[in-house]
Amino acid sequence: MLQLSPDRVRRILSDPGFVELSSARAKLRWGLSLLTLFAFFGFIILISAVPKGLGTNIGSSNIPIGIAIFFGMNILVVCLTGFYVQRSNSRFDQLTRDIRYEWDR
Amino acid sequence: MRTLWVITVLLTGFPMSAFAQTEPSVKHGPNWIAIGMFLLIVLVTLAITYRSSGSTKSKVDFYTAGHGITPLQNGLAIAGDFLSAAAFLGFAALVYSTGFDGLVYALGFLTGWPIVLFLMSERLRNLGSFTFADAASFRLDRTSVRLVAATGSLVVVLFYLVAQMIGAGKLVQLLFGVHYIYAIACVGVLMIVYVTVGGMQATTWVQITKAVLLLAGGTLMAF
Repeated sequence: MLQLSPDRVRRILSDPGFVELSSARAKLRWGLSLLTLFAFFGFIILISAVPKGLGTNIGSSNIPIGIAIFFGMNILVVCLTGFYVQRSNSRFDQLTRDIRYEWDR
Repeated sequence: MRTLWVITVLLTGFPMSAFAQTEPSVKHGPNWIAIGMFLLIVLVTLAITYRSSGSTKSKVDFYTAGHGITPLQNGLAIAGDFLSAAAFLGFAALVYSTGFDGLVYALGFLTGWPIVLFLMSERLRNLGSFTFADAASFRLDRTSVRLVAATGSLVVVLFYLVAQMIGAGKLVQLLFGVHYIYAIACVGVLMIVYVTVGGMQATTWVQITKAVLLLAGGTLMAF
């Protein structure tokens, strides 16, 4: 395995490509996590605040608003997961490969 | 649509009403289709476990099935995981008895996964580790992290697995008419055999089989 001197570590850490990779990844990671948590706890607050409102049906159909939001949340979470996986498999893996290639020389 | 929903909830919620009793509250003849399906699932999954027990040798084999699982297989396996007694019986009964409050539990199941994915998957992959505790103990104090992880697992097992076991034991008792204690012991032994003998490979294939059979069976019953 390649031995890293403290100086080399410092230089990699300040490499613009590496800084971009780690900050973009952190932003995506925390952004999506917070979004998911907000949606989940927002739903809990809705349930405790307006249970009657969630129980009313949409238009003339038999589907209550609460159930519709529930299924919407499912779809949202699946989409977020897909977005994250797509992002890290294309953009971040490419960035990582570039940095590796540059520093392995 | 609504009557169908109520009937489904009542039907799937029924075994929960027998929760506290050791004798089934309603006596009826054995349900041969259900018994046949149950035995078929057990036989198929045991055969899979036996087959894959030979190929599980290293840590990589045990935890990740030697990296030999495709995304589609893994997706089906996780679907199988979630189509459990808790999802079918517990969730249906919760929503039936507490309304929208029950939905929180159903959603909590789902919401936890992407957050773990967002926050942990990168680290697990970068470190080449297999478990949450492995990744966390890389930076933090090893002993404390493992203690926390072990305590967390055991607490979850206590509240989740025990309920699942009771559900499974009750179902087997209802289907076969055997004593509750034997039913639970059989289910427990089956679970342990699946995981310890076959590792991740067998577990994944067991879950895939379960998911496909459940989806097919559910579709069949809908008509």
